[in-house]
Amino acid sequence: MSELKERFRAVDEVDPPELWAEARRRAATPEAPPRAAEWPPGAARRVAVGAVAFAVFAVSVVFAWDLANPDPRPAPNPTPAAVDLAAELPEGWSELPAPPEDRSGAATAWTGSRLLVWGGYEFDGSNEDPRANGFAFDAAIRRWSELPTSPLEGRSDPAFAWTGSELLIWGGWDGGFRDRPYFSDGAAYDSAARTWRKLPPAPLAARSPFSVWTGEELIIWGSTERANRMRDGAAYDPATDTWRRIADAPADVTDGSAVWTGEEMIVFGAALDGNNRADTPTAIGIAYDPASDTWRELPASDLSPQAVTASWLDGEMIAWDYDQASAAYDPAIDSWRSLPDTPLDFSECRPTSVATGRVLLGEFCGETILLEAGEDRWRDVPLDPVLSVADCCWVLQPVAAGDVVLVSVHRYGSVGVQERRMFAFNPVGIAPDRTGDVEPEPFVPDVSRDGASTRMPVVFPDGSEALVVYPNELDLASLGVQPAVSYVWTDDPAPRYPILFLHDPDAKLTDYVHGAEPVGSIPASQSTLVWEMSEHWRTTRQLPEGHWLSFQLPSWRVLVALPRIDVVDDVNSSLRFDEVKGFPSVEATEGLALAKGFGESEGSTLSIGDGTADPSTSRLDSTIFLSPDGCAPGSDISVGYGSNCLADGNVFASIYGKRAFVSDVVDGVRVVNFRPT
Amino acid sequence: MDAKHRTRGSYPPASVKEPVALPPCPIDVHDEVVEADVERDRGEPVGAEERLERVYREQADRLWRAVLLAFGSRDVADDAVAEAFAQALRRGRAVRDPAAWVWRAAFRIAAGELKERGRVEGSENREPVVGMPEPFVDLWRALALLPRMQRSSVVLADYAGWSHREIAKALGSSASAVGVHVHRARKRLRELLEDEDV
Repeated sequence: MSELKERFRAVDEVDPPELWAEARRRAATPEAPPRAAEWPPGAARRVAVGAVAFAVFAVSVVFAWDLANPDPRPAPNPTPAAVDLAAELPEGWSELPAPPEDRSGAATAWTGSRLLVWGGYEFDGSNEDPRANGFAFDAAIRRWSELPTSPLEGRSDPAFAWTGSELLIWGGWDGGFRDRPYFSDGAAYDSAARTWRKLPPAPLAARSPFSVWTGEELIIWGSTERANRMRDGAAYDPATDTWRRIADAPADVTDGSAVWTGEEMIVFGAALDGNNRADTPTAIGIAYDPASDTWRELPASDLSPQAVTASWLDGEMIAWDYDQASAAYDPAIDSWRSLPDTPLDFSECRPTSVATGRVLLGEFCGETILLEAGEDRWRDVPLDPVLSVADCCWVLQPVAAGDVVLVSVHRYGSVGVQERRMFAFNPVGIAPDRTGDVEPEPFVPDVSRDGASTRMPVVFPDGSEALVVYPNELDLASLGVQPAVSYVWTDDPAPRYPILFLHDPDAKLTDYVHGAEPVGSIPASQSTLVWEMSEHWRTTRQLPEGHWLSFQLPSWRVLVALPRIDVVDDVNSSLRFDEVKGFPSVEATEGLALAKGFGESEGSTLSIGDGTADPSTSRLDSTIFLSPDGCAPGSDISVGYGSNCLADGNVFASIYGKRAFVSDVVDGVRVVNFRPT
Repeated sequence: MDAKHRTRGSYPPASVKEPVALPPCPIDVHDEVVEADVERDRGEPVGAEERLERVYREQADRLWRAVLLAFGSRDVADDAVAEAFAQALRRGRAVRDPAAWVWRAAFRIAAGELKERGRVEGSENREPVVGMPEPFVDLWRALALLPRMQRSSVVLADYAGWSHREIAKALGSSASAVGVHVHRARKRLRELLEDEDV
C-alpha cells in the first residue's frame, strides 16, 4: 500500500494550469447556457441538471433552498434510534419473528428502526382480497404490532415512498371488486406519531402506477393496467403538500420496475397485453428528469420484455429477466453492458429484486440470488434447505432494510395459508466494509512453483508449520492469508479476548481505537502501546473493557484486547510475539492460554482468502480456514460439504465459497510436512 | 387473479414494489464546521469570493490532479475545475462548505463532460501523457484499465484522502460499495504496476 501511495504522491509533480481567472470570467456571465452538470442556481428551484447526478447534490440543493426558505412545516416527531441490523445479525440468512400476515403488493418502508407494511394481500392459492390495515416490525425489540386504522380503503400495488418521516401511499388496485377497480386517493403515515393524514387530490385518474421517491417528491407515472395504458404522471411534494403534473412519457410500459438514479426516474420493462404479448421485441427503458421535466428513451436492451426487473446499485441500473439474462445500464455514459447470466433455470415466474447500498438480492420462483456492488457475478444465496422452497408453495417478499434484506414468506396449500416466516439476509460477510475506512492489508506469502503445483510454506499463529500445495490455477496465495488466534483467556470459559493481526506495521488504527494517540505505553518497549478501544469494536464484540495492547512486529501490528486495564502488565509479560517466515506467531505463558479447539472457530488459524476467523468481519467468499491439530490422526472427518482433514491427518480445513471453489480445494489442495509446535 | 399479478406458471406472484429511495442524508456537521473555522481562523468574516479564492489557492491544484487521474483528460480537468469554481462563485454564500462543494461539483461536471463527448471507459480514451513524470505515467495508464467507479474511488481515497463515506456521497454510491471499489482498485493497481508492460 505504501508503494501505491508513493505513486499517487508522484502525481504532485504534474503542474496544473491557473484556472481562477477562467472561473471568475465564467461566473461573471450570468446567462451562461446550461451545462451538462450545471448546479441549479439559487433562486430557481429546478433548472436543467445534467446527465450525471448524485444524491449528495440533491441534499445540497435542499440545504441551499432551506437557507432562503425556512421550512414551514412543524418539526417532525422524534424518531426512534436507528437499528443497524447488519451489525446485529449474523452474516447470511437468519430468522426473525414472522409477520401476522405476509403481504404481496403492499406499501412497505424501512424507517431505520421499523419495517412498515400496509395494504396488499396475502395470496392463499386463490384469494387476493386487498387489506386496509398494516403492521410494523420494531427491529429494536423484534416485535410486530398493528398500525393505526388508515383513512384508505384496502388496496394492493399502490405507489408508495418513505420520505424519512412518512410513508406516502397513493392509488392502487382493489382486487377487482368494484366497477372501477383502481384508486386515485392517497394518505401519509407518520411512523413516529403513529398518525395518518390524507393527501390532497392528485391531478391524475385512478391507477396503479410506477413510482419513485426522489428525496423531495413522490413521482408517480403510467399504469400497470394493460388494458388502459397511460403515459401521464404527477409528483407530490410533502414539503408543500402539493401535486404537480409532469410531462407525458414517449412510450408505454405496463410491466417492469421504476428506479431512481439520483437524477432521473427510469421506468424499465415493456408494454404487454392481456396475453403477455409485448409491443417491443426487447425490454425498453424511459427516463424522466424532474429538473427539466423531460423524458428520454434509453438505448435498446437485450433483455426479455416478458418478465424483467431492475434495481439501482452503485451507479448502475441492474436489470435481469426470466431467461437468465442480465445487464447493467450506466446513465453517466448512456449505455448498457452485459452481465453474466443469473444462476437460475428458466421458469414461468416474475423476477423481483431489491437493492441495499451494497448488494442486490433477486428472487425468482423462490430462489434467491445476489449481485454485489462492483462485482460482475451472480451467486446463489439459497434459503434452501431452511425453507424447502421446492415444496409448494412459498411466496417471498423481499424488502431492503438498511444494509440487510428482510424477506417475509408464507406457504399455502389446499386449506389456505399454512405457515408464515420472516428471514433477514445480511451480506456483511461479503464486502470489506465492517471496519469502516480501514482496509486490512492482505498478506501474500512467498510461494514457489513445482511444475503444475504451487507450494506455500505457512506458519500457524501457534508456531506450527506446514506446506500447502495446490494447483497453480487456484492461485491461493494471491487471495491473501490472515492469521488468527481466536482467544486468549485467563478464566475459562470467560472472559475471552481476541487478538488481531494487521499485516502492516503502519496500519491505521482509526477504526479500532478511540482517539488519535495511545493512552499509555509499556516503559520497557516504546513500541508497545495501550489504546482506548473504539466504541464500534466494544459494542459489536460485546467486550466489557475498552482497551487494546498493541505490539509491533517487523511487518505486523498486533492488537490484544485487554480484559481489564489493570492487567496490562500481566498480559504484556505473558504473551510473546514473533515473526517467522513472514508469519506472526504468539506464545502464551504465565496464566494466559491460547484457545484450543476444533475447526475454524477456536484455536490457532490461518484463513486463506477474504475471510478471517471472526464471523462479524469475515468475508466468506472463496476462503479456506486451516487449523493445526484439528483432526485426529488417521480420522476421516468430512462433517459436511466443504469441511475436510488435509494431510497427515492433522490439519483441518473448512472451505467456504462457490461450490466450484470448494470442490477445487477439496480435490486439489493438500497440506504436507506438518510440524506441530 | 388479475393478469397483471399473474406469473406465467404455477408459482405464485411476488408483486413487490421497488424499494423506496432512502431519504437524503443530512449534511455532515463537519460541513458546518468548516465554514466557521475558516472565518474564525482568519479573525474576521470574509466575503464569499475571497473565501472561495482561498479554497482555490489551497485546493485547486490537488483537485485538478485528482480529476485528471480519474477522468484521463487535461481538457476535462481544466473545464471541470474552472466550472466548479465558477458555479460556486455564482452561488456565493449559499455554498456552506466550498471546499467539499467544488470537489463534488468538479467530479460531477467531469463525468458529464465525458458523457457529452460520448466517451466510454478504457485506456484508448486517455490522452497522450507526453512530458509527464514517469511514475505518473505508469499510474495514469494503470488507472485507465480500471472501471470508472473503481478509478474515481481509489483516486479520491488514496490521492485526495477522502473517507469512504465522503466518496460515496460524491459518486452516488454507498460507503460499503466504495469500500469494495477501493479494495479491488488497490489490488488491481498493485498487479498492474508490478507489470512492466503497463
